Amino acid sequence: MIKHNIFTDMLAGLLRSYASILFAERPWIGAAFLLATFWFPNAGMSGLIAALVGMATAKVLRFNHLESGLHVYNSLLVGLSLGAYYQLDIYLAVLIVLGAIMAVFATVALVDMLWRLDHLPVLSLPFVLVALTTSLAAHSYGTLSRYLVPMMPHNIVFTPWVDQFLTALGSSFFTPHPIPGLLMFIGLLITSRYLALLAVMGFALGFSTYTLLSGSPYSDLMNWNGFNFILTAIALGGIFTVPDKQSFVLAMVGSVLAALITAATETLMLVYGLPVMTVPFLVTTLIVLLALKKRPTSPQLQLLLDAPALPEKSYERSRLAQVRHGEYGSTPLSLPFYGRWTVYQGFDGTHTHRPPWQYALDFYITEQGKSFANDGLQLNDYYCFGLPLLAPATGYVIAAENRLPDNAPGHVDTHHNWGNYIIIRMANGLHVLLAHLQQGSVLVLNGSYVHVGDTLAKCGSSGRSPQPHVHLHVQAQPTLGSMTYPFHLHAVLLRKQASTDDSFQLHARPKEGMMVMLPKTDAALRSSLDLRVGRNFVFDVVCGNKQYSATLTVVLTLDGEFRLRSNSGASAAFMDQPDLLVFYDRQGPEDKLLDAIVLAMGLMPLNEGVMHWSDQPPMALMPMDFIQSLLAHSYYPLGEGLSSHYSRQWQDDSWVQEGEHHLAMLFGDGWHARSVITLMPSIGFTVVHLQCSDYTLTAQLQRYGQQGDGGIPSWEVMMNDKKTGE
Amino acid sequence: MTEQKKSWQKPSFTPHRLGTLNKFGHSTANQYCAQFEGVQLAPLLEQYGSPLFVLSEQRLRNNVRKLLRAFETRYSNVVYSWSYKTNYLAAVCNTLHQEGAWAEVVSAFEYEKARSNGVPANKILFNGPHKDRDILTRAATEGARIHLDHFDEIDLLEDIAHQLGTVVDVTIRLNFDTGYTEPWTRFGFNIESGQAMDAARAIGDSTSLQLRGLHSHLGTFVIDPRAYGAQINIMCAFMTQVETQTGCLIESIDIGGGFASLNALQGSYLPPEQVVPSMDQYAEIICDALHQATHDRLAQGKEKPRLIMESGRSIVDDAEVLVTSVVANKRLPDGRRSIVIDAGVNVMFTGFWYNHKVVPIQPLEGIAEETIIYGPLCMNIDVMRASIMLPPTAIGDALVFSPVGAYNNTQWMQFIEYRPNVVMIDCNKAVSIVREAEDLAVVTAPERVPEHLQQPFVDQQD
Repeated sequence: MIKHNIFTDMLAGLLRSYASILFAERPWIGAAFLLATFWFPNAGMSGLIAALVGMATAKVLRFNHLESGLHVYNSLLVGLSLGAYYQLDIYLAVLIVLGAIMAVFATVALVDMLWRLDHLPVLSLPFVLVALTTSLAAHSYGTLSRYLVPMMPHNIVFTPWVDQFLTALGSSFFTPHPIPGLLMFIGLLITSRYLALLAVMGFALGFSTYTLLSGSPYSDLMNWNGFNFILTAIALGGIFTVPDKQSFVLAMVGSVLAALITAATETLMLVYGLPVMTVPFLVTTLIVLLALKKRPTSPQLQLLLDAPALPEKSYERSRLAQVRHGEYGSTPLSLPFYGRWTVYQGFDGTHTHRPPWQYALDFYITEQGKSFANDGLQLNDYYCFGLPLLAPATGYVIAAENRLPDNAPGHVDTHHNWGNYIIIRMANGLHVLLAHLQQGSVLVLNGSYVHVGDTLAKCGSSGRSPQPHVHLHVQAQPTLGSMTYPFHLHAVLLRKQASTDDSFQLHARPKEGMMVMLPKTDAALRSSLDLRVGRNFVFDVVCGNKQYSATLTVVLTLDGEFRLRSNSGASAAFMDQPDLLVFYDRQGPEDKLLDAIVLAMGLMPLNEGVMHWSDQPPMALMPMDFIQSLLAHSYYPLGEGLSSHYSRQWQDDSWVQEGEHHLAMLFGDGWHARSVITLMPSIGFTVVHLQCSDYTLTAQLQRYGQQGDGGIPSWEVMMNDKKTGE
Repeated sequence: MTEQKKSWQKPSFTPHRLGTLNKFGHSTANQYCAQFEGVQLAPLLEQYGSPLFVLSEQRLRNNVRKLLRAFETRYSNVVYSWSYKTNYLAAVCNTLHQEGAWAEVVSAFEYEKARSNGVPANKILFNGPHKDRDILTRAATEGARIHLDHFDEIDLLEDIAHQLGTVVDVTIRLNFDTGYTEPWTRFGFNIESGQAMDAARAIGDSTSLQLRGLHSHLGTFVIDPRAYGAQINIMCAFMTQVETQTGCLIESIDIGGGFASLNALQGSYLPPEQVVPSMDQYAEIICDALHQATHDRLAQGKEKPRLIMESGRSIVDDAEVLVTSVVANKRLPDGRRSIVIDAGVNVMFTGFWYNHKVVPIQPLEGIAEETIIYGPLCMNIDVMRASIMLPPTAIGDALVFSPVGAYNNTQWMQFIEYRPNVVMIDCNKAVSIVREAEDLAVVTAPERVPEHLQQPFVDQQD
């Protein structure tokens, strides 16, 4: 049994190493690539030998990530390259074995060096170094006999251009022929439509540039080297950056640059009779990535060096992060007070919030448009004067002033603009400032460590403050009044006008006159959604005319992620905060119930009262038939968020959370879905309902319980028992 | 230009007084009140008859917003619960519910009224010493928040919960001595004697009950906010004690009501403007004490408790006035002047313990004189104001009593006279009846007359 596992692991690793040359992950796609390399059996066999030797070396020396194929694809490429130029015989086999072993060492060493350089990926750099070495060595080994793969076929298989493209793609596995190239393109298309698009566009642009500069439209060299444009476009635009307009342009620029470098490399290498291999791709990609690493972070063209992923996945992650975390690079702050306050001056305010202090919020309290009772001649008439102020972020207090007097209404102290203040240094290295505090009200000392929500001082009117208010901003330096940085308020009830309803905002940048308030956590709701490890829920599902039973279990992954896993194998991650329950990262096979639950729960603020909020869960959660799915994926190749509006209120004996989901399409009104989930006190979700045109899913909780574990007793409650009990 | 003829006034004697502090406060002699919340009172009286209760929706909303602002800007989890017994006219209750108030009820009738007003059961605090099995069963089934007052009630509810097969969350009412007010020992369980801890243990031992809240009520018209500070300290100390000893988790601290309104208690020397603390003063002391008493709770992994308030009087009192008309002038044998008006203590029960502000709806001419205001009842106790400086009044002159919002529309009785109309001025200044005046049909409707008593005189039979 164990041996079998080792064997399948090894096989999966081997196949994955084939797949990873074109950034694919699935072993069976690697199997297709492996098959394609045998179009020229000499090269294919050489590659397979090198890959097996590489696997064995890594296994014997216990290098990690064996099964991922990371250490193996460079060995594989060395083998393929030798097999493409020399006849496979015993002498070449010796050279292949040596090259494959050397590639493993080179990979392990270079991975570490490049990571230390600036988190750069190693790509096929080890292969290039080893293959250059072996090629140079081969020149002096008389025992090897030349083997030349037949170049461009005499008859055109598809059209000249398509043949050219597919041949170039095939030559990334040293198999320059349209048929294996087609197999690889299909593999790429299944892996990612976006990568396939980048491959085609990158090749078209790189090829055009190359032919424009060299003047020969059907160069044989192109067959061998054209894949460099493809790989550069894929790496820069699809794997190491989040797909967007900028990254697409970058990918295209990259493939043009690769064309330039290809021509240069050819000239240089020809002197020594060496092939170009992936040198242009490596030089272009690594230089561009290293340069981009030196930019300040920005929401556009985000680098993914630490977590490269297929573009569809990284686009979805980035889209959801934008929706749920707010603007990229903006610091989240908690409201620094209790109760409902009004924004006195917002970002880029007309009074004092001018650069470099444009990212600042002033708050005060108003009632019917007035900030004071009586005639407003005394500080005590002002509603906000003397109210407690709280820490908006966790960190160290690094500076504070406590002695300046509060101005009489209408007066300002321009000698001490900020009045009494507190500066807190946050974990992200930035600082948060609360200013115009009441004289003598500061409760914390320099060096105090404060947590979000700790009481710090009272609202006052010191400094440049004509009436009591509090000023809040995030600044770069610890010095008072240094340049401000953008920030946003986290989890607030926002009221756009005094007369409108509150809406829950996970992140908000309120404008002048808007009102904000911290929501109250609903302890009962929170304790009802008890998703501890091992908790399981068994549902009776009616979906269309199918009826089945499904089990959902809470599991904890090795890297500390909680997931709700269905018995189908599908799962979704969730995060459980005191005021929030959020589902994300739906993975695995089709599972209608899990999709419905993730869609209906979405991002759930655990607050009291009638709640309204919006979210943009991924469109893949929406039930679609094959045609619909094809349409949606054609219209949104990278995926898209639904426009979802949720509301929740208490009805009779349970919370009812309703969601209206909408996906805009090119024609008509788009598609709508409606989800309803019922949450019973101390049980959690009991009924899930999803309706989408003629599709209906209804799931009823049958029983729920706890899986037993070493120290945890198991138990189970039947819902029917409870009903008969009533 | 013609000179206006001065009207004739009855001659009277007025002793000289120094113009300084006197026991009547500042003189009301020249004050009048032609309108209430921007609505002229004279036409109202014409339309709806005299006497007339007039409510202001805007004032109700402003008052509850003021209370909520004072507390919500100082503490994170505040609930205000409308004390039904203070004024349970549906229009009043629903105005406050719309502002987020829960309901605090103390009887089966009040519970049913709150439910019929549309209040969800989990927003009802069910308080009071008398809740019978039927209504407790209903409350437990619907999920109301039940406050237990005595051991017999613990037993009763445990029995009910056992029969229902559910676990019922409960709050216990406590009494103790803060040193500031006279303790109301007749309600709830006493802390000092250990009775409260016995109750908590009894609940802790029960499999059907779960202690989730503590409640106490200091008294009424508490004008020293420090009393609440002491109350919070005692309740939070008890909270820690019960949590450690019985393993329960307290979710809410209910400090009852008792905030004073701007009304003058009989026997108090200073005018209410000087004695009654502002809502911010109450809030500051209460929230500071609560923060201090619970500062280490988050570190222990427990939420800070919800703060519940049930103040009724301070919310509704100044949102209602009573407009009455003079029906007679009388000179008493001792020389004092008295007047008889058309509303008595049967509709304005609080006349027994407050010196209400009384002003005419138009300026009265003449010299102010000490006057006794009598109601219309044929009872000696019907004194609406024992002594007030008023100029002479004519028959039909209207007087406004304020504030009368608290306890009058609930404690009033149909006695001798019919109870009058209650109208409400809404936020757009439109006026509508929220409780119709009684007539004979209303009063006699519940009566059942035996067959042989259908006729008052036997010889009337044909």
